[in-house]
Amino acid sequence: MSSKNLTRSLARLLALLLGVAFLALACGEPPTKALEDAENSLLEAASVSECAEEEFRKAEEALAKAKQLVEEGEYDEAAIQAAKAKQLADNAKAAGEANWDDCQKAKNPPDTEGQFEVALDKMETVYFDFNESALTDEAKKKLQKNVEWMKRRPEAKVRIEGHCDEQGTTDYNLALGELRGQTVRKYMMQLGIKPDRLAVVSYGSELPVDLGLNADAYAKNRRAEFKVLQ
Amino acid sequence: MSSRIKTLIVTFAVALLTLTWAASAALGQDLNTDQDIQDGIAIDIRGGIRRATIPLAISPIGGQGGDPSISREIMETLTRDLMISGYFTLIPRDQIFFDLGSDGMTASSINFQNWFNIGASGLVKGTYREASGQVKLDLRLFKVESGVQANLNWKPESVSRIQLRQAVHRFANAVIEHYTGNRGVFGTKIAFAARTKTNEKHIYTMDMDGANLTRVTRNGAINILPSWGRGGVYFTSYQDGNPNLYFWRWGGKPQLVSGHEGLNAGASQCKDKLLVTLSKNGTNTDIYQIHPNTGAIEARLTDHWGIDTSPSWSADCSKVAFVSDRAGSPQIYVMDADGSNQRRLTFEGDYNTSPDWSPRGNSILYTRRGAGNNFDIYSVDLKGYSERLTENQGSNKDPSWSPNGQYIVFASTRDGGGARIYIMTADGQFQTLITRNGSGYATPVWSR
Repeated sequence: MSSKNLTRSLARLLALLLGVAFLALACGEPPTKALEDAENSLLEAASVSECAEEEFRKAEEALAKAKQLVEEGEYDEAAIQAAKAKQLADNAKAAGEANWDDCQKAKNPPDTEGQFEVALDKMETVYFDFNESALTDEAKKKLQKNVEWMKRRPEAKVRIEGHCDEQGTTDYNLALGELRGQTVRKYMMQLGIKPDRLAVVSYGSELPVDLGLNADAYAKNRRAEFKVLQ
Repeated sequence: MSSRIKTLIVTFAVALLTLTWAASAALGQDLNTDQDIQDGIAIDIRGGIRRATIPLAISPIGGQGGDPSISREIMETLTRDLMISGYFTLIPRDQIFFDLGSDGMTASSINFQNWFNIGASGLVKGTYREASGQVKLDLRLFKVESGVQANLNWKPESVSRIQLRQAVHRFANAVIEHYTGNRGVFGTKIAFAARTKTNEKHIYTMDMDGANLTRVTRNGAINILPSWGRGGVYFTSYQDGNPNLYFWRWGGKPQLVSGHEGLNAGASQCKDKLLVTLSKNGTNTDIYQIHPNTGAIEARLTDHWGIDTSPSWSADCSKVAFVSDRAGSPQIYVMDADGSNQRRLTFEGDYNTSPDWSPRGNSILYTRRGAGNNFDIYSVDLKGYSERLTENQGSNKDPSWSPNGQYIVFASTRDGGGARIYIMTADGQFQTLITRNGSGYATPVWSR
């Protein structure tokens, strides 16, 4: 056999193989697994969908189309569409996660000045330095106001909630949040509030007010909040 | 054959493979499970030092009866176990190019030269037979250089379909034992906490290879700090508004153990002694011994104006590692079981927390905050000598020893993502991701 002929027959053989490969893949079953995968990816993307709305919508549409194709019996098309939906959902999740910080900031603009004065009728949140439970001068001033507030409402009982930023470890933050709460409680007791009007609960780093991973966000999260119980 | 033809053949072959792969990927089907698994595992050898690993080949699993998912599950479990053990380099499936048709299951019927030629030192062969719901599993390890079957501390097993993974884990453990002298840890459990919504966090358990996820809490609340007690998991839940300590006996409903006002958290159990952190009666946090079921206070181990928290028992229940900020910053301390002889172990760094005492020996793992606000895993011995185990890989927190002291599980934010769960060998050399998807994982703890 000449080399030219060999080339030609090889080309034919491979072309045939390719055809067989495609035929083998064109199966007659609904692509259940591909649809499940796409749905799972969409579920995972859902938690960050608000920060990748456009991408998430496209993924939802692709999945809807895949489901429609299944109903029409176009299983091969549906499988491709489901795989596309999964890819789009994965993209949406990645985009949402990458964009989370900025997007959350845009949705929750930082406190504007003046809120301080407006909030006279409620207890004010006090803030702490990193890994500290000591009260700053500013925190003490706010606590004096909070004490005045409680004295005007002798029936009120208050729960002090101690919080930490997300930098530390879960176990230590829980203890630190407790210490912050206790420090606030002691100071308010010194200013004349009866112990049985003040409870303390530590949330450690479990309930941040700002989900950002930067110094500003951390500073907002290192705090003691006040909840009026009755 | 002319070089032109060779080129053509290669081109067509590559095209064929690529097209088949692409079409298969578009259909969302798994074409090559082994490869998928290997792709899913990030291998990272710290500092470029590669420990000598054993080159191992796994021959395709043959079988009779049942569906193809059986051989796939055997292969997947085996591959993942041996990969994450850190002791082996698995020879990729596509390098096993020779005809396996004549290769049998006995040393005399295996062409060891073929396996030697592709660089295998160990060879795993397997078959199964499925009949009326039972899978008879036969896995064997051969030593390629000497051409003999290794005598393993494992016998072929007959198990139900759902116990198949566990049987493969037991074989993998025997392979590890053969090479290292220590039985492997596959099939052991890891508990952790994961955020599911803004105001919800739940306790889960999984097998150490990331499989068999089980959700422990379904209370719509924040649940944190799991730790293993006898036959179940202790954790702290806010379901009653106060951080109370609960115990989940395997498969049952969580029961309240300690509900003092203030903190009830961070349980560490050794035999019948359970240590926790309490801040009862509006005092600061201290370490107490309580009854493992009723929560009745049996002893107070620390009594200090600052924070004392995070107790961790030594394996023989004679000593306790803990964290205190009595010197102005959180540091690791050690004391006797009755609270006497308290002394400081860590002196470097201004934030050392989350101790976990080795089940073998006196190495205590902990988390240190370093420069640039990154956290890393260290160990310290009773003389105060510290060793660093993670470096330049995001923040690494909450280490916990494996039951045999060979591995460490921890949470890491490496690769730019949220926190995921990794394991590493005790020397930190081999580090690998074990959670399969998502992030937001915290405080993994290995069952003892």
